[in-house]
Amino acid sequence: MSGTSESPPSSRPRDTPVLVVDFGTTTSAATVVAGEEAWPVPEPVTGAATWPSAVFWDGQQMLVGALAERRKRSEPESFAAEFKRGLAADSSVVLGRRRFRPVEQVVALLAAVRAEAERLHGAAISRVLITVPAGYGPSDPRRARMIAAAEAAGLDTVELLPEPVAAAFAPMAGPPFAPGDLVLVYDLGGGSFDAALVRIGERWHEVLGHATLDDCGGRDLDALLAGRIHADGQEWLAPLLSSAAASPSDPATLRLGMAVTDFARRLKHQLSAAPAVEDFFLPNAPAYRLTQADLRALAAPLLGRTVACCTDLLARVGVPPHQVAAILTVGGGSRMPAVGELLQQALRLPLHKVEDPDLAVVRGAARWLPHSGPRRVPAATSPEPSIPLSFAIPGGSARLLRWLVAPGQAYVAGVPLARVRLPGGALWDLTARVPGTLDRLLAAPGSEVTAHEWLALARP
Amino acid sequence: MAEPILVVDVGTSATRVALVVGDQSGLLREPGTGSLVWPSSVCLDDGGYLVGTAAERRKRAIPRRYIDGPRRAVDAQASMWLEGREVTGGEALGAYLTVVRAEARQQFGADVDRVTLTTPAAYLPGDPRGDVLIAAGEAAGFSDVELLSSAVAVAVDPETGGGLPGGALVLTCVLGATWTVSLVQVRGNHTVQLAQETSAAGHDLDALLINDLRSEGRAWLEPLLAAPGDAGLRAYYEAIDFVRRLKHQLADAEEVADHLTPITPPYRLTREWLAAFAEPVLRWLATSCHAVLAAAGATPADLGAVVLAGGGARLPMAEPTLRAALGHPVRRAAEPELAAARGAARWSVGALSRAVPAERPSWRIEPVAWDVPGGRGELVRWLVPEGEPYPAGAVVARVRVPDDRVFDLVAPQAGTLLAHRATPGQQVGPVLVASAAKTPKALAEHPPPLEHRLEVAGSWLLTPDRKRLVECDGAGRYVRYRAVGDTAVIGEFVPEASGAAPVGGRVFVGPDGRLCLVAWDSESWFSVWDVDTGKLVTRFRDPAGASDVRVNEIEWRLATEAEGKAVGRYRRSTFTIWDLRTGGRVDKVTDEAWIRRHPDYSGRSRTQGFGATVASPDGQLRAAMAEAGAGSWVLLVHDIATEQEVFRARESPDRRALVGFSADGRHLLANWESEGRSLVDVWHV
Repeated sequence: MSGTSESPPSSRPRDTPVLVVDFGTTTSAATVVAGEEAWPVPEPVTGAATWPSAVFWDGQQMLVGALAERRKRSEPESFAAEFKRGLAADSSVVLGRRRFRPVEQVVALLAAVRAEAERLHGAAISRVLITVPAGYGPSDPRRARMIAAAEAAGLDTVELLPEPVAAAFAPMAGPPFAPGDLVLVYDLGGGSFDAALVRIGERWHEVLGHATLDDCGGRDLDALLAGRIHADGQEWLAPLLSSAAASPSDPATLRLGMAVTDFARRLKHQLSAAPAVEDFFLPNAPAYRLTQADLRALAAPLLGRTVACCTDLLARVGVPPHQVAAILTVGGGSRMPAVGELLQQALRLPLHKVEDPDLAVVRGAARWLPHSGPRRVPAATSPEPSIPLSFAIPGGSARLLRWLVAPGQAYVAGVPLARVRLPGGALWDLTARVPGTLDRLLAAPGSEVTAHEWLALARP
Repeated sequence: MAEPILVVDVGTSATRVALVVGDQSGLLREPGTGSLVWPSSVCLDDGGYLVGTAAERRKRAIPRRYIDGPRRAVDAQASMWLEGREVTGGEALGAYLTVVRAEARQQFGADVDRVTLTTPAAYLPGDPRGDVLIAAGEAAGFSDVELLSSAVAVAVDPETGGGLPGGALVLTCVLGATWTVSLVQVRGNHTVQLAQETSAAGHDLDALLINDLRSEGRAWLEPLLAAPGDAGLRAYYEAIDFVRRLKHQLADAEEVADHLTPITPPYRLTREWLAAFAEPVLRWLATSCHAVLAAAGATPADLGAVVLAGGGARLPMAEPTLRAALGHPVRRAAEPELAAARGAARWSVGALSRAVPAERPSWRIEPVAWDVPGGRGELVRWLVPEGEPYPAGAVVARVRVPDDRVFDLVAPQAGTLLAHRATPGQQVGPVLVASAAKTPKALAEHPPPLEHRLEVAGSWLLTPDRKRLVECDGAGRYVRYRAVGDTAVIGEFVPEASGAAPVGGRVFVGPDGRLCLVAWDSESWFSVWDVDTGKLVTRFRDPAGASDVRVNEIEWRLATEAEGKAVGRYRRSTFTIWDLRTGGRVDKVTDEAWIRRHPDYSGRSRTQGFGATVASPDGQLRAAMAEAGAGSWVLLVHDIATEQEVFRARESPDRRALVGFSADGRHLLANWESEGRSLVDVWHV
């Protein structure tokens, strides 16, 4: 990898390209941000804006995205998707004849995204921002695993951003949110549903509370719709099934099932723009008709749960609905007109939509990046010299009990500055050799300190 | 005014308290009894804890809520049950110390916020039981809790610890409810406990006495002990107090007799019986003394003192047993049970002296500090390795803050990174620092402080290991060693006077790097002394006398120069060569070019640490002496990497000047030599 010599990070820090990845359970999306500009990283095979979060082990290498999707029909046992769910336990799964940890599958996808981004951008990219669910708390091991995976994919500086925070930064039609607004982020993704209440800020939105339904994604609705097609098309599907295969475990049966699910998804997508659709499963099959009302009825129980999840969240956080400024709907599932109607009925709040709800998180993260403040901290400078304070602590180490002089306070020679307890229990005072003013403390009370370690900085 | 310090010697069954204010200390009396010995007992009444005499008074009424001392529970790391309620030793001790602190406030008239607690010698550093004592002290409201091993406290008891040289070994035998033998090395604030052995001997002795009481008084005591309810327990406590009282009375009587209750028959105990009962525990004492000495690799002959302390020290047989076992006189204070408290008070009087002054910062290093955004973060990595230069604006390190943003820590000015002061993965904040080299410009603006200027009518030498400065009187009357850093005298050698007037003397580095004084007197006797051992290596006489003396340190030979007879217009010098190992004459030549032909012969040591050009041990600085004309010499210090001058100093010695660095690189030394006197300047770099 030629990498670093082409764009040394220190020489033109503002133009350092950053890869932004919305790593989803079923689909992912990526963008490259350099300065104020952003370029999407489409799936290289299909050209689609999103990448299937899928991998396929062909015995030699890991195929990802659309390539993996294409091969899944021939060897379903070498295919894996939704491995993001596995990050929590991180126990390995078998693909083909090898075992892979979910982290390794994440690495494969991120490495492919990075390679494609570098190809499009024309330079090495070593910095990445990955969005993660709000449910990944501060000490959640999934955070560390996501960081480790990105580092293994060759991205040496890894930042994480909660998905609802990113979503609320997404460009949207209409007036932007004002600082202090409470916004309910309704994220109906392919694999799961996430609700979060955020307080809008200039550079950062605070997540006040969040909730997740792991079995309420777009895929679950597809399965319901496929079931309905199976039932409705009994008279023309049954002969197809019996002629295609002798047993239900035959790959041909599996393939036919997958085709019905894909047909269901196609119908669903068409309904987000038209009140009714008519389509054909096979050229010689009868027309299948579906209206928005049909879909609404089918989805009602599922969407009902997502709305209940939102009201429960508000109740849990202790925020009455009228204090919430707006609802922001994101995720591919929110394209269904029924979503907006149900939310209106239940919460009676203004609804904000984004143009491409599947890309709201990645676009928001890309927009947040240049607005999130510089990532450069210059060293403290002062016209006066800075003097480190260190002490020849008897025995070599001690526990710092407390500072007896506060930062900013002047002291004279001989004054005790801090008190320590030696391992044997004796108390010793650390005193000033020359007069000065305490500037910065480098060791906190209660910490273990060693002889000659810098414990504080002073000024003459 | 110095802060007041309360001293509490928490014993298993008795506690002693002292108050230290400035250099004054005094033992505090228990308010209930006026005694200097406070009962350690605790009683959990409905209203809360009662301690000391108050607890002793209540124990007859509520014996099941009484415990004779919480420290035993701390020692055992166990809980106590006070009538169905579980109480930890630390909690009860905290309650006890709260009362002691309140009483001290009453007597002193102000709050006392610092306490010194004695710990059993068995609590070694890192023992979690020490943390329990600290927590108990903090729970009682003390902000500063100091722990002191009771063995160390007894060793520094002013009543028995006098007249001991620094570093003396003291064997302390503390005989309380537990018996402890410890070896302590007394060295002021650095007094340490080297080894210890502990047993429950005191307790065992009391148990033997109670068993005897029970067998003697079977007829009348057993019914009392077997009484149902609290009465039996009450009788048991009274029986313990009874035998302890008798035991103490035997300290100054051959035989004692007393009644447990007015209606029970008398019980008699003689010193002879007590001796028989105590025989096994005293045997343990003698054995343990030798075991503790052996553990520290010492013998009885190494001991500076043997101190007997604790209430058990009053046992008549204790002192003779120890004397016989060790063949050493035994020191015992008049009130041995107060020894630990007195010693701890003495230790606390010295609290102000337990201070470490800040180290002098290195002249060449300056800190680079970054405020970590949000005050806390994880160091991801350093991007500039140690020892590497970096340009202005360089990213030196990267930190990850808790919300997983990653920040670049940038250096506003160019520099050289000398040391990372945190490791990747480490939690850092609120400030991250690194050591950077000061720029040559900054160094030139702030010259290093001149710490010492030393002068001798003679010569200086820096030992080849560059750790010691050697001062030699010009006539060879004495040689002194000084530490390079603080220039303190750490050794002196004065050669035996020969009778004749000393004329000259210089120190050279002899075979195997040994320092030798070569001195000569008015009768032309030359003496070679090994400075470290003080031995005379050899002695010889050059009847021709010497106008100049030169030494070849490699061949270890000496050349004397004597002015020869005038030949024509020239006066030819004669050189006599001597073997410094044997004192034998090797050669005698007359040659005016001899000095030029034999450059290895020199009037000053060539293999010493001073030289004309030297590099600092870390290889970053080069110091050189240059003659600047008109008898003036200039010391120039350069940064080797940049070749920029960072420091200069100038003097005008008559003869010459040399320069050296100390072995640790902290000090730069210049030696300016004039006729008859020699200066050394020491700068802290």
